[in-house]
This record gives sequence, C-alpha cells and structure tokens, in this order.
Amino acid sequence: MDWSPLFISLKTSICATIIAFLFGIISARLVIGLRKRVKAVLDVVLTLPLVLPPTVIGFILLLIFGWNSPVGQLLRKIGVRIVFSWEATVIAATVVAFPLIYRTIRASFEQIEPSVLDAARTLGLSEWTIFWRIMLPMALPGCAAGAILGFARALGEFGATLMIAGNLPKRTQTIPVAIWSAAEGNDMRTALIWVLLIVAISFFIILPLNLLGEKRT
Amino acid sequence: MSLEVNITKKLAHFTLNVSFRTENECLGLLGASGCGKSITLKCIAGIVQPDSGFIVINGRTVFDSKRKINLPPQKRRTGLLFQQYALFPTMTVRENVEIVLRHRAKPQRKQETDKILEKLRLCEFSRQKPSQLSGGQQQRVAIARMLVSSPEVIMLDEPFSALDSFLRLAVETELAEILSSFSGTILFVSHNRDEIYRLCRRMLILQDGTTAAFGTTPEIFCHPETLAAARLIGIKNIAPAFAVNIRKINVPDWGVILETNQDIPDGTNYVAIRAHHIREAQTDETVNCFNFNVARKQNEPFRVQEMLTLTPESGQTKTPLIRFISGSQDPFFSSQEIHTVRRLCIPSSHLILLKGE
Repeated sequence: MDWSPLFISLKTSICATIIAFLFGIISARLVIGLRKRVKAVLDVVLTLPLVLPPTVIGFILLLIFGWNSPVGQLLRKIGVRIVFSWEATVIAATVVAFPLIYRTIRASFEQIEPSVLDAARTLGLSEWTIFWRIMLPMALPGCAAGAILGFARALGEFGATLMIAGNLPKRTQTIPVAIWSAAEGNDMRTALIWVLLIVAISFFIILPLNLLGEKRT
Repeated sequence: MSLEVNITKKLAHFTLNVSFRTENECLGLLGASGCGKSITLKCIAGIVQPDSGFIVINGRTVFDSKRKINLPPQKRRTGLLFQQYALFPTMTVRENVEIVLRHRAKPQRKQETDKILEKLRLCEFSRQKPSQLSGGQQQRVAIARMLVSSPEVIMLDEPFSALDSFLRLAVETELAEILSSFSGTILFVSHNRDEIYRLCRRMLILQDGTTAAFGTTPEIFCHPETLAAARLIGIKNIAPAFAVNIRKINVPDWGVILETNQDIPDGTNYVAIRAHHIREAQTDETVNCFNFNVARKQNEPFRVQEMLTLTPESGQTKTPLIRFISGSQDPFFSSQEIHTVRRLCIPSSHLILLKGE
C-alpha cells in the first residue's frame, strides 16, 4: 500500500490552512471596517468559493494559472509551473478553505462589544495596538475554530484539485483523489481504507471544535 | 480646563441639539433613557460624529463641521467611563492599566500603575481578569485606566446603573472622593435625579435631544421652569393650567382655581406642587385651601402617600393629587382613615408655574 496520499494531503492542508488563515484575518479586519454596502458586496465575493461547485473553482484557477494565461506565462518565464504540480493542490485547497476561515474570524470580530474598542480609542490606543492586543486575543477562540474548519475543508478538497493538479501518484494525489482513483480502478479495498482514514481524521479534527464551544458557554 | 459643546445630530426619533459651556466643575446631564445623553458623550469623545457644530476642549477645537476638523478619539484626551465599563476581558487588571501607558519606559510604567492601583485599592486584584471581579471593582479598574490616560475631561455614563442598589451609595461616595482630586471638567450622565443632586453643582436637563433646563442644581430643583424639567426632577403633581387673571390660575384636572404669590408669566400652561408641600390648613386660613377626601393611602418605607380628591361639594378632581407625610405608620390602615375629609392647603409660595410642550 502506498501511503503517499496521506502525507501529501496533510502537507497540502497544513500549508493551505496557514495561507488561508493569514488572508482570512486580514480580510476579516478589512471588511468589518467598511461601510455597509461595500461590505455586503465584498463579503459575497469572499464567500463565493464556499458555495460554487468545485469544478467552477477549478476552471477559474485553470484560467488564471493555465499555460496560456498571462499569469501562467509570467510564471513560466521564471521557471515555475503551477498546473499539475503539488503547489496547485495547495492553491485549490486554500481557495476553498478561505471562505470558512474568513467568515468564522469575521463573526468573532463582530461579536466583540463595540464599547470595548471605543473605550480603547478614548484611552489613546492606536488602531494597530487595538487590533493586536485587544481584538485578536478576544477573537482567539473564533480564529481557532476557523482554522480547524478550514483545515477539515482543505483535507476534503477534491474537484478543484483534480482539475488543476490532476492525479499524479506521489506528487498531486491527495486522499480524496486517491479514493476516486481506486474506486475507478475497482480497487474497493484501497478505497475503503482511505475512506475510513479520512473519516477518522476529520472526526478528530472537528471534535475539539465542539469542546472549544462548550468551554466558552 | 473648559469644555464648550454646540452640536446637532439627526437621530432616529428626534434631533439632538445640545449646547453648553462648562469649566472645572462636575456638570450633571439629567434625562430619561434615550434622550440623547449617551450620544452627547460619545460625540465629545469622538466615537460618534455630529452632523454639525463644534466641540472645544481647553481651547483646542476637536470638532468643527465648518472648518472640517474632526480629531480621532485617540487625540481628544477625553476619558469616558462606559456603563458596562468596557474592560479588556483578556487582560488582567494590571494589564488593563498598563496598556494605556505602553509608551512610557518600563520602570515608570510600573511605578504609575502601582500608584493608581493602590489609590483605587486594586492591588490585591492586579493579577485577576475583569470577569473575576465584582461590579464595583470592575468600575474601579475602568476609572484607574481612565485616570492614567490623563484626560482633560472625564465623562461618566450612568456609572451606577450596573450596580446592585445596596452598593450604589458606597460606590457613589467613593467615586465622589476620587473625582474630587481631578481638577478638570467632569460630565456626569444619569437618569437619577438624586445622584445628580448629590454630585453636581450645575446641571443640564435633556428632553428628546434638546435642553429643557440649564443652571445650578438647587435652582433647577426648586424652580424648574419647563414641564420636562419638572417631570425629570421628580415632582409628583403636575397638571395643565391656564391663567384666569394675573394672580389666579385654573387647574381643571385638580378641579381648583389657585392663587399665586407672583404675577403669572406669559406662556404658563402647567402648574406643579411637590407632594410634601401640600399641608394641613391652619384654622382661619382660606387661600388655596380645599376640602379633600383621601381616596387611597399607601405606606412607603418612611413616609405615607395619600391620593387626594376634592369632596363632591368642593368640586371634581380628574387627576388625584399626591401628598407625602413623613414618618411611618401601621401598614394596615383602618377603612375609616380613608374617605375622611381633610382641609388641606396648596401653599402659593410652593406653587411652581411651568411652560410645557
């Protein structure tokens, strides 16, 4: 049995979660400071990857990073090829994990009592200090929840990954892709092992989320 | 240290329009909930932006709609004590204070923090989180944090509303002491007239966003001039009225025509009398004396409240008058006591003439 899909999946999900987490915090902070209407529109744009079919994400990513696209050609000039590379799995996973992380963090920022932030301002604290020393620590449980959800989602990413990264064993074959590949080849035993494994991993990733929630209430 | 405010702002139900000037004193802002008191404080602090007007703190213009000046809250040097204290929940008591002093050198920061924690008797709690403290202790942390930011104006938004009633007086006494060492201007917002009476030498009454009265506290409590002011300082008997001649006023709701001891000013359309100013008539006294029935009697902890209506022979009362008699009585009155006829006087010297709506 080839265990490489497990390591590829974990490596991809960890990288994707970190990237999506950083972008998630920055976007959440930007969005809550915007005026209502701009906020509503931007919020929809940032949430779209959550609801669009993975094939649409994959297609758009192909448009952006494909060999004939401006970005693709630019990257080719410096010797980087995204399509059918491991990096592509990270990009696909990041895009689908981002909305979950962003929304969870934004919600926990919005739960902060506005008077706490107002008080900080009257006390002369800069917006930067307020963000790092007050908002982030207060939103920490929410950030953790966002990261967990994002990680679980990245781990389960299939459609967009298949379209942009393909199914190259030992390079881009993640667990979901391996399951599909094994089932296609009628290797039901291998497929079942991967299924059980990913159910177990997901279960133990999501579990602390609920324990986290219990502790807060 | 002075504060000059002249602002307007359109709100959901009314337009806020306040204007006052104050210098080195504790000015009370009295008003019912939702009359614009808190918004006024937030405008001064820079959290809410007024539509127009100006705010000047110690000669420093912090807001001026015409000159397009609008300093951020960080640069206004105002201290605002929020109703719920708004402490930083993830930080300890000490950290809540220290973060305000983050630009100072470490030894100085420590020294100043120690000093203020000691002054507000918070040393023993310095390592605790706000959620572990009682309401009064949380408030002291908020005050400590505010004082170290060295504000030029201190604003207190209903500082006792979140406290249990038995704690209030103790906290109030303590707050009065702490604030007495502050040399700048203090704005004290409350819907409780007693607090304002005890803590502020001058006061401003807000009604639906506009100033209903502005002056020294004793003056406003003794001689309110508007209906809104009379209601907010807690006068129990207020009724519409119209002048019959220059010294006589008709009060249809009470069913009486009263004599006044001053010429009735133009525009007077309400009269008021405090419940404890209605007294037994002396023998031979006739001015403003009437026969009343006691329609209802109620015992309060240290006084008795009587609801009075005129006897049928004397006239008809639509709104019963309320009279307080101090001292306690047996809480179970005999039915004879009610419906007894009394000859009572509404002294013209205590009659308050008001301009209303």
